Amino acid sequence: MKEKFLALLICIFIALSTTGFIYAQWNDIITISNTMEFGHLTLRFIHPLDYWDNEATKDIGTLDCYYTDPDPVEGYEGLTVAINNAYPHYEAYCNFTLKNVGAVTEHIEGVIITPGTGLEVGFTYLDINSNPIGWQLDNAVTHQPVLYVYVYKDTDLSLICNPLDSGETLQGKMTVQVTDNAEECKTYGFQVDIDYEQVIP
Amino acid sequence: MNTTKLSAIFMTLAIVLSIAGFTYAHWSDTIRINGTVKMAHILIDIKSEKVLISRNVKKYYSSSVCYEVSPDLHTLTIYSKNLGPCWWIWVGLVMQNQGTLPGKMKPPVYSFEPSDGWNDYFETKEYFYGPYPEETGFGTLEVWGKVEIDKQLKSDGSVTFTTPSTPTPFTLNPTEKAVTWIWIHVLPNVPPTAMGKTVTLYINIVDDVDI
Repeated sequence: MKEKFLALLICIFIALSTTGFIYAQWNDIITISNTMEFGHLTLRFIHPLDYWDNEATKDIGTLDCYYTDPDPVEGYEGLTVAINNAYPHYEAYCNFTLKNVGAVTEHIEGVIITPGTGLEVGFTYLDINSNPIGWQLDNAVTHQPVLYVYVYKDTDLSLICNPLDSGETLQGKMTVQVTDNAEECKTYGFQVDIDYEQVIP
Repeated sequence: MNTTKLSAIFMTLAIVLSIAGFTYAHWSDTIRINGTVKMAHILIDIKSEKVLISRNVKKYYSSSVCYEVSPDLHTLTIYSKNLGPCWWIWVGLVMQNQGTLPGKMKPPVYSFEPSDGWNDYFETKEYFYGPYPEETGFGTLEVWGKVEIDKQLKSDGSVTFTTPSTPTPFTLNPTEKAVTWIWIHVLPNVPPTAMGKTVTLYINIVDDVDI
C-alpha cells in the first residue's frame, strides 16, 4: 500500500513537471512598447512685423521693432520696440503676429505690463470683457502721465481669450504715445509679458 | 448597499482628484515685449559771441562794456556803463543746435528789469543768418569773421552785408549753426530821471521745437 502511494505520488509529480515544462515551452511574453511624445505648448512671434510712426513730414523720432530670441523650431520669443529721439505727441505703432507653433491649443490668459525705472502704472484701460488693452504709465514722482502703451487685438478688444489651434496665427497691435510730461533726454522702459496657457477641452 | 455607496464615493473622489490634478498640471508659458522710449532734447548753445561798441560811443559816453557767457552756454550777460541818449551797441552770437530735435528760431523777445516803461526808451533791430552746416568755418564768413563796427554794422542799426538775412522763424536742424546780430539803441527821448539808474535788458532767443 505504501509503495502504491509512493508510486502514485511520483506519477503525479512527473505528470505535473511535464505539464509545467510543456507550458513553459509554449509560454511567451507580449510587450507593449508605447513611445509617447508630448506636444509642445508654444506661442511665438512670427513675421510679418510692421511698424511706423505718426511723423508725416519730418523724420525726427526713430522707431525700430525687431524680434529677439529666435526659437530653433519657428519664430521668436521676444519683441523689442525701441523708440529714439521721441518728443511729446510722438506716437509709435507696431503690428506683430503671434503663432501657435506648438501642437496644443492655447490662448493668452494675461497681458501684464511692468513699468521701468521711474514709471508706475497710473491707469489700466479695459475692453468690454474687462481684459486690459492699455496702460497709462505715470512719472513715479510727479504722478503725471508720461506714456500710454496699448497692446490689443483690435482697438477695443484684448488679446486675451482667443483660442489658437496649432498653426493658427493672431494679429497683435501695439501703440506707444508720448505725452507732454515726458522729460527731455530721459529713457523710459517697460516690459509687456504675454502669458499663455493650454486650453482645457 | 453599503458597498455600493462606498464605491460611488470612491469613484467620485477619484474623478474629482484626477480633474483637479489635470487642471493644476496644465501647461502655461510667457513671451515678452520689451519697450524703450529714449526722449529727444532741444538744446541751442552759444558757440561764439561778440559785443561791439564804437570808438565814438566809448569816447562820448565814457562807456565801457564787459560780457561773459554762462557755463551752460545759454546766457550772454553784458554789463554796460554810462548809457545816455543815442547810445548804441551791437551784439552778435553764433548759435548751434546741439540737441536732437530741429529748433525753430524765432525773433528775440526783449524784456526789461525793472519792467516799468523802459521799453519806451530802447530800440532794437535783429538780423539772422544761416542756417549753416556744422563744418562751416566762421573765420571767413562775411557775417562773422571780419565784421567791423561802422563798416558792416552801422550806427543806425542797418547792415551792409551782401549775404541776405534769413527771415524768422526758420528751422535750425541738429548740428546746424546760425548767426544773429542785434542792435540795441537808447532813444533820444530817454528822460533825465534815467540818470544813475540801472536797467537790465533780457534778450531771449526762443528756440521752439520745430516739428
